[in-house]
Amino acid sequence: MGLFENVLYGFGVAFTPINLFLCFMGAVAGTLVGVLPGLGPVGAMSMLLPVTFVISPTGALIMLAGIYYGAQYGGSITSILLNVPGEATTIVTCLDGNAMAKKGRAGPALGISAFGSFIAGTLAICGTILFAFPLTSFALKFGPPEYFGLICMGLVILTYLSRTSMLKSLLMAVLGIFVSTIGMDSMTGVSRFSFGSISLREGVGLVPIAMGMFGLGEILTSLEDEGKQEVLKAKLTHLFPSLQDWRVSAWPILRGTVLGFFLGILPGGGSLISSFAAYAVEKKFSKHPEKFGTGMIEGVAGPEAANNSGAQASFIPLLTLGIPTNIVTAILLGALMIHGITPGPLLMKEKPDLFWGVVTSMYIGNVMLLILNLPLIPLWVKILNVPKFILLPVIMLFCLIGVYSVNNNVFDIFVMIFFGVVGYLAKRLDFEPAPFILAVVLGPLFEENLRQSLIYSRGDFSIFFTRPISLAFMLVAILLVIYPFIPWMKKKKNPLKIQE
Amino acid sequence: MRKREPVNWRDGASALVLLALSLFICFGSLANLSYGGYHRPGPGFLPFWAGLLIGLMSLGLLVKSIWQGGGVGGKFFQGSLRRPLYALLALLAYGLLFVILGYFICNLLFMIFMILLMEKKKWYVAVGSGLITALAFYGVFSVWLQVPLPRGILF
Repeated sequence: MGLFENVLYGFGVAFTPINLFLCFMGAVAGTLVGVLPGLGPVGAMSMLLPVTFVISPTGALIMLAGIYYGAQYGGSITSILLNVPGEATTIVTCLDGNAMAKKGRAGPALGISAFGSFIAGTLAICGTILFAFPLTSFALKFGPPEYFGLICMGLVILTYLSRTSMLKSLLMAVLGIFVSTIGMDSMTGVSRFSFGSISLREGVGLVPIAMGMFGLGEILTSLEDEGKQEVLKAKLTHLFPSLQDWRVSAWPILRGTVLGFFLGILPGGGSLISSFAAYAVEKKFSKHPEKFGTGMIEGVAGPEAANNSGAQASFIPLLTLGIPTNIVTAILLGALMIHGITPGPLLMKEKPDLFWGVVTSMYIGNVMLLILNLPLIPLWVKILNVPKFILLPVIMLFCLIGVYSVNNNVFDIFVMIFFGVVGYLAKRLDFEPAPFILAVVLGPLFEENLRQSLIYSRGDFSIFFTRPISLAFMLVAILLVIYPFIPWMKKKKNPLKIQE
Repeated sequence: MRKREPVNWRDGASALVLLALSLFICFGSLANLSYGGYHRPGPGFLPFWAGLLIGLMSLGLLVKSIWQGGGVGGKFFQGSLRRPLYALLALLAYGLLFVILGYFICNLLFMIFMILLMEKKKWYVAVGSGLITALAFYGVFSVWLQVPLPRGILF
């Protein structure tokens, strides 16, 4: 089938009533999660993972993907109206978005954010469709050394870009690799670090870890604050940007789309780094960079386009190579593996309904979000005023029941609580949980490819450096690890490093 | 003379805990699992090397915490520890009683405890909110999604 026929087939899959409903549910849940500070798309996806067991893998991925890009839309609302970033990816939107709102221009800010995200999402999906085929052909050249190199590079890039020190992030990544080895060894059947427990013999599941660290961990942190909950008010008029606003925002949206797309494909990439990079670029291109932070619409249009474009593009490595490049796609990989599907270069051929269904559903989801978001903004803001004493326990109950329903095993509840405490302490001690989770998901692939490579090369580690593709990945990883120790390079500020 | 930075005791303490963990992992891997060799890595191969790397990086963190310092003053916990601790106890109790009492009663008791703990509301507010939440969860999980959950003593 040609490209056009595949896209039509994908729309056929995405337009089935059940998949449309799941796309809608994902988009709504994502927007809701994006609006609520503290609970991110990762926590929401983790909590809804058990729900996906009763639906098809295609439907599950459509819904979970909807949560991810829905959260980008939702996070912008509170960033602009309340100067409270709903998501980390919308922190940058607070700078000029809220300044616009204070000048009575909240409507155009929200409007350009929604329309910009939609345009960027549409173009990014086109890019995904165009890139998928060549990337899949390229990935067919991958053997175990190449996959091992790619995973190493992905983990190192994520640790390099993390907010905390690289040493601590690398520590978390290696800890995650160790946790992934707990349970039965897939190659020999030997039980590792299970201490005689039947539950641990099956390994430590992704769902309890993710729900614990991202769900419970965040809630325990929120509970420390005994202050009164503020009732938040927001005024809103005229949702549509003017012609002048469109004229000023057109190039930022296009630049943000392209930048977000290519940063989103990179391991460690996605919407977070895309939004920060786009803001920096718009400031550089602007004739009045000194006015950024005072209500420049370019400061909203560019980052918002970039974060949605980055979110869409981050699916490409997952669906074509089977490698997640950030924590969100790591959760999606986990979801696919729970359904017995291993994504990779053959996914497009073996499961075309899943591949093309998910890609085309992202466009449908973006349309739904554009229609839903603007009229429902007052409702989303009202949700922020739901009392914390109701909201937090309800979220905890979702976590408890959700994690139990995965294996009908009470042990998973205790695992989740344990990792909730770990997540809480990690936050206090300034350790990032994202490298840990990514390493837990990639750990089995990491080990399998490492061992296969060494068996094939009879113990010769040079196999990772003599094959060109693997060499390229390993060089990038090594360079990033040693970069902090090179004094003359350290003097230069890293423009991509996410700063507080 | 450059003023010496205070020791970063948080990083130091983390490093010591991780160092102990790395020793446990390394010894556990070598003692109980087959290391194999580079030509045929066994089940203990990766855990051992992961443990070793954790140990080396923890040592690095320990040295950095003492040498570079960067310790900040102030409390470890930003706010009050009371509510997170009580929430943790409630979660553990939930896990222990889940199968015995059933999910409906556990949900109800959990909500009542958390509402009383969080806002010190009147008991009827806590009970009312708890009942509504427990019923909503019953509707969503048992009736709609038909997720098999332990019924306990009630049903």
